[in-house]
Amino acid sequence: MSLRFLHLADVHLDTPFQNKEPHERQLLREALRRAFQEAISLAINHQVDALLIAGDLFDNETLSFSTEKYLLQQLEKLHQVGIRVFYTPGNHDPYGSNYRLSRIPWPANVHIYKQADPETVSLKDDQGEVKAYIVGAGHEGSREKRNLAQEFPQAEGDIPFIGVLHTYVGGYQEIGEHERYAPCSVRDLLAKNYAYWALGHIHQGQVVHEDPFVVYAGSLMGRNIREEGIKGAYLVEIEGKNVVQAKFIPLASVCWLQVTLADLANITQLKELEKRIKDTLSEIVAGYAGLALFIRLLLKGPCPLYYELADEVNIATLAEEVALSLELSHLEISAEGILRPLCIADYQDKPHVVSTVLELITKLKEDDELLANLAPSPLAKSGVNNGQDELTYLRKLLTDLEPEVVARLVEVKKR
Amino acid sequence: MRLKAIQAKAFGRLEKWESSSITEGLVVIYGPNEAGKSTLFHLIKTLLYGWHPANKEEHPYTPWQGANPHIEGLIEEKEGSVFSVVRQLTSRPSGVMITENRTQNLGNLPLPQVNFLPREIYEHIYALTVDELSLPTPKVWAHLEDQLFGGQFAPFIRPVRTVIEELKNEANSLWRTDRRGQPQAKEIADKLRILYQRRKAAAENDKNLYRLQAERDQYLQQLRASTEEKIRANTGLERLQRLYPVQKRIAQIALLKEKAGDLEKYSGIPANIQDVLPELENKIREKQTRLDKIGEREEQLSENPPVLSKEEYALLDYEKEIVRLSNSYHLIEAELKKLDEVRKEGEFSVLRLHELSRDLFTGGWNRQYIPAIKEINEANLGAELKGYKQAFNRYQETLAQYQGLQARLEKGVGFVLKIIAVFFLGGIGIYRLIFNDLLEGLIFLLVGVGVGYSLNLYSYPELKKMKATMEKLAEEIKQEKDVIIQELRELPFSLKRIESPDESLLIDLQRLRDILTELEKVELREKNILEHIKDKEKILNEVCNRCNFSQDNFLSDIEMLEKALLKAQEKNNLVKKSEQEKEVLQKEREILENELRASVKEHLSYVSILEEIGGESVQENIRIFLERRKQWETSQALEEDLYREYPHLEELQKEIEYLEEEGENWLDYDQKIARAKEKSAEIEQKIVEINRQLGKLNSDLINGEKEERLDELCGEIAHLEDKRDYVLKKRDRLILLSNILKEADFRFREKHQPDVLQKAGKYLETITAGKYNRISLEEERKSLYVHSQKDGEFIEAGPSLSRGTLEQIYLALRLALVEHLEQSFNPLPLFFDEVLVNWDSFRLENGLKILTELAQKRQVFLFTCHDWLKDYLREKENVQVLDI
Repeated sequence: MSLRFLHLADVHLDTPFQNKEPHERQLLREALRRAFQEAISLAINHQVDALLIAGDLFDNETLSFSTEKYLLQQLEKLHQVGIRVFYTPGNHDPYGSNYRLSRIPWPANVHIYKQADPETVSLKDDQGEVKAYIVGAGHEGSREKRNLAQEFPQAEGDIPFIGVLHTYVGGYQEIGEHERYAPCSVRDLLAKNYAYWALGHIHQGQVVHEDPFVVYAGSLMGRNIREEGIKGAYLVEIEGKNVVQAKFIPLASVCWLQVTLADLANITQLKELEKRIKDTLSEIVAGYAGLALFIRLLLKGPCPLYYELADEVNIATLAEEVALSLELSHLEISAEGILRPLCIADYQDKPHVVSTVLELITKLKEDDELLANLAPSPLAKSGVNNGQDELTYLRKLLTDLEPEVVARLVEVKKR
Repeated sequence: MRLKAIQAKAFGRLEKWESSSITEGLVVIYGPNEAGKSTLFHLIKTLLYGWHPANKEEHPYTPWQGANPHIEGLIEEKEGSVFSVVRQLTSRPSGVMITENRTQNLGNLPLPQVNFLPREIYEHIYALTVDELSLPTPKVWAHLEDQLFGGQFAPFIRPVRTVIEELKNEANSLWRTDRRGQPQAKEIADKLRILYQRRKAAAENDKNLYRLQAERDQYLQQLRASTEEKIRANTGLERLQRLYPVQKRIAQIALLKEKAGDLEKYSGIPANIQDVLPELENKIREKQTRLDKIGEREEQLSENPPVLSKEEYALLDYEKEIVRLSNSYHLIEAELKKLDEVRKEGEFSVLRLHELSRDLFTGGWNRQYIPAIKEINEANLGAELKGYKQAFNRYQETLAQYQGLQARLEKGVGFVLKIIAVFFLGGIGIYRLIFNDLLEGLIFLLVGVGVGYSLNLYSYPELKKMKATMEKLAEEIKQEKDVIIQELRELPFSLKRIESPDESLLIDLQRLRDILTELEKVELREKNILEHIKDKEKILNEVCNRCNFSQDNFLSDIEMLEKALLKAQEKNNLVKKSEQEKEVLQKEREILENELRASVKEHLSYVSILEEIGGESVQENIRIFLERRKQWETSQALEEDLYREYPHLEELQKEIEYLEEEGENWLDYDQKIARAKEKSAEIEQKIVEINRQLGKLNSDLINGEKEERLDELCGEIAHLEDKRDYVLKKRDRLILLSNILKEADFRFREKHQPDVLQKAGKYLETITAGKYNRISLEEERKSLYVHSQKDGEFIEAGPSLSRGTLEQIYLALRLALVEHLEQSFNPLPLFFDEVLVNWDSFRLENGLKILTELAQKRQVFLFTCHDWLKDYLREKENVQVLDI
C-alpha cells in the first residue's frame, strides 16, 4: 500500500517582516500566503493522503484576523477533497488555553496534537484500511524544554509509522541560531524505527538522516536574511514501510540571499563599484530565475571609497541603481565592513596615543574589569543590566573597534 | 645622529647644491625667505625616511625642470661611525646606505636608525616654527597638550579630545541621557511609541474583529435560531390553520363514534333490522306451512305406491331388444315373405333340376353332381360331342338305317321314372338336411342314391351290316362316347343321354349349370334371410322365455311383446314419477327445514344481540340500535368525506396527535391564531433587527480588516527596534570608544607626561634662568601650570603669563618631548625655524644656551633669515653658520 504526504513546517504566517519599506513587507506577507497556498495546491494536485505540519504554522501573537480566515479557508480546501491535516504545534504556536491556536475553529480534517504526550492517529484509506500511523506531539507552552521524541511509541507491524515533531535535533551541524526547544538526538529518533520523521523548528531545510528519513522541511519561505536560499516543502512517497521518494519542492516565490563583496582596495569610483556589484550579482541572480530576490550585499575590506560609502545617500543610490538594473525585489547594501585603506599594524607599538588605544582595546578584550570600568554609563541599550550580559554586550561592542579607532584618530586627507 | 654633509643634486629649488662640512654644535642655516630653508629640512627628512610621496610627479620637491630628485648625505652615528645615504626618485624611489663595509639598498624605506620614530612624528615634532610659538590661544594650548602630552605629535593623529568630542557628539546624535536635542534613538523611540500605540490599536482592532466576528457569529446563530423560530412559528400557524378544521371534524367523528358506541358486536345486524325481523318471522311461518303440506303429500305417496311385476321388470329389462324387434317388425315380416319367395324359387329350381336331371342322370338329381357338373369343360365337351355327333351322325345314318330297322323294335319308358324318383328322393333328402332333419334327409338321399344306382342304361345293338359299320362307327362312337363319358365320368348320366350324347347334352348341361347357378343364388339369398331372421328370432325366444310368454309366431310374438312392454313402461313411469315426487318432496323438505332453521337462528341471533342493548323490548332495542347505527354511519360518512378531502389524512392525524402530545388542546383557536401571527411578526421584526446588526457588524468587520495589520506594524516595529538597537549599540560603542580613547589618552599621558614635564621643567628653568623651574598638568581642569620659584606658586600657563613665557614653556615642552621620544635611541637632528626671533636678549641668551647644550647631544639646525640673529649667533661658540 502506498502513502503520499506533504511535509511542511515553520510557515510562520503573519510573521513580522522587518524590512524598512512598507511595500516590501507587503510583498513578503503576500508571498508567504502565496507559498502556503502553493503548498495546499500541491497537496491537492498530487492527491496526497495527508498534509503534515511540524509546528510554527504561525507566529502566535501576530496572527491577524484576516490571516486566520485565510488559513481556515485554505485548510477547508483540503477538507473538501478529503485530505487530512496532521499538525503538531511548535514553540511559536503552542496549544493551550492562553494561546491562539486553541481558540481557532479548525475544520474537521485537521488533527492537532494538543499535548506533549505523543498521540498515535491512524490514517485510513477510502475502504477504512489503515495506511499509516501518524504519531505526533505538540508543544504545550512557548518554552518546551523536554525531550518529547523519547516518549514516542516504538513502531511495530507492517504499517509505516510517521513521526511529526517540532524539535531541535542536536548532534549535527545546523545553520542559524535556534533555541534548543524540545531537544532530542538523531539516535532518539532512529531508535523508534519510524519510516519518516517530519520535523520542524530548524528553518534551513535538510535531510538529517536517510534510511530512515529524518527531515527538516525548513521554513516555507525565508523571513529575513538569516533564512537564505530556496524554501519549500517535502513531498514524500512511502511504499510499504520504505520511503521511495522524499523530494524537496520549492514553493516560496521569495528568496533571501546574502552576498559578500570584498577585494575593493582598487575601487576608486562609485561607478566602478556599481559595475563590480552588478557583475557579481548578475551571475548569482541567474541561478534564481523567477524568484523575487531579497539580497543583502556586504561590502567588506579596505576601500578608497570609505568616505563615499559612509554616505547613506550614496549607498541608497547605488542599491537603487543595481536593484533596478538586475530587477531585484530588494537590495540592501551594507558598507559597515568597509575600511579605510589603513594598516592597523602601522600604528601598533609606536610612541603615540593611537598605539596606546590599540593596546588598550587588545587588553579590554581580556580584562573584564577594565572593560566594565570603561563601559558607557548609562548604557543606551536596555536590558543589559545584568553584569554578565553587560560584559557580553560590551565585548560585542569591541568587535572590529580597532579599524574604527584608527580611522577616527588618524587624519587622512579626504580626497 | 648627525649630518656631516648634505648634497642636493636636484631637490626643489636646490640644484647641485652642496653644503660645506657640517661641524658639531648648533648649525645655523641662514638665507632669505624662499631661499630653501624648509626645502633643506625636507631634504634631510627624505634622506632619513625616504620619498613621500613616492611618485616623482606628485612629489613637491621634484625640480620644475623635471630632473629626477636626487639627494645625498653623509651621516655620523652616535658612536662615530659614518655612512652615506643616496636617494633618488625616478620612475620609482630608490635609496642606498653606504657604510664602510657595505652598501645597503634601502629602496624607499627609512634608515634603520630612525625606525623607532614615525616619519610623521619626526616631521611634526622635530621641526619647530616660530608660528607654533606665537599662538598661545586656548585652542593652541589644547593642541599643545595633545601634541606634547597626548602623544599626538604628528598631524596624522587627530587630537584625542577632538575625536572624543566628535564621538560624544555623534553618540549624542544617536542617544542622549538627557532629553535635549532630537537624537536618532529619541526619534525612533517617538516613532516606536506611536507604532506601539498603533500596534496596540491594531491588536485591539484584531481583538475587536474577533469580538465582532464572535458577535456576528452570535447574531448569525440568533438569525438561524430566529429563522428557525420563525419557520417553526409559521409552520405552527400554518399547521394550526391546516389541522384545526381536520381536528374539528375528527373530533366530531370521534364524538359520533363514541355515541354510536361499539357496534362491532352488532355488525351482524342488518341495516334494515326493523324490516328484517318481521320478514324473518313471515318466512318462518311460510316455511312451516309448506313443510306441513309436503308431509301430507309424502304420506299420500307412501300409502299406495305403484309396483312392477317380475315380468314387467323383465320386459323393462329387454325394453331395448323389444323395441328393436318392434322396430324390425316390418323388416322381419318382409324377410319372412322374401324367404317364402326364395324358397319357392329354390323349390322351383330344384324342380327344374330334378326335371332336367330326370332325363339326364340316372336316378335324377343329386346335389353331389354339382361339383362334377361344374368341372365339365364345355368346350371339350362340345368338341367331343361334335366328334361324337359326327360319329354318331355317321352312325345314326348307319343307325338310322340300322334303327330304322330296329326303331321299330323297341322304345324304353322306365328310365325316366327312375330319374324322377332319384331326383325326388334326393331333393327331399337335401331339403331335410337343410332344415335340420338330418336323419330323415339321409334316408331320403340313400333311397334316391339307391334308385339312381338302380338305374342303368344300355345300349342298343347295331344292325349287323350296319352293325359292323355301326360297330365300327359304334366303336368310333364308343370311342367318342368314351371320351365323352370319360369327360363326364363323374356324373351318372343316364344311359340314354350318355349312350347317344348329342349337343343337347351340352345344352342340358349348360341349362343345368344355369339352374344350379340360380339355385345357388336362391340358396344364398335364403341363407342370408335366414341369417337375418335367425338373430331376431333368438332374441325373441330369449325375451319370451324370460317373460314367460308363450310363443305363437314371430310377428305375433313381437306384437305381444310390444303391447306388454308398453304396459310395463307405463307402469314403470308411474313408479318413477312417484319416486321422483318423493325425492322432490324430500329435497324440498330438507331445503325448507334448513331455511327454517336458518331463519329461526337468524331471528334468534338478531334478537339476542339486540337484547344486549338493554332496552325493554325488541322494538326499543331496534330503535336504539338504529339510532346508534345512524350515528356510526354519519361518523363514517364524515370520515369518508375527510379522507376524500384529505388524501394524506393519516399524516395529518399523526401531526395532530403529535401536537396533542405536545399539549395542544385545540381550544381558543382564534386566539391562538392571533397569538401565533403576532409571534411570527415579532420574530420577523427580530430578524430584521438581527440583519441590521449583522449588516453593521459586517461593515465594521470589513472596515476593521482595512485597518493596520498587526504583523505589518510588528514588522515595522521590529525594523525600528532593530534600528534602535543598532543606534543604541552604535551609541554605546561610540561612548565606549570615547571612554577607551580617554583612557588611552590618560594612560599615554600617565606614561609620558611625568618624564616630559620633568624634562620640560629643567628646560624651562634653564630658559627662564630659574624663574620657573617646574611644569605640571592639572588633569581635572586640563590646564598647564608653571611653578614660579620666586613666588613659590603654580601659575596657570594662560593669559596671565606673557607671550614670551608661554613660548618658552612651549619650547621647553617640545624639547622635553623630543628627548622623551628618543629615550635611548639615536638622537635625531632638530630643526628650529626662527624660534628665537621674538625673544628678548635675556631669554635669547638662555634659549641659545639651551640650543647649544642641546646641540652637544644632537644635531640642531636653526633656520633664520635675520641678519642680526646670524651675526649674533656667528659670534657664539659651537655655532656654525651655513648660508643657503
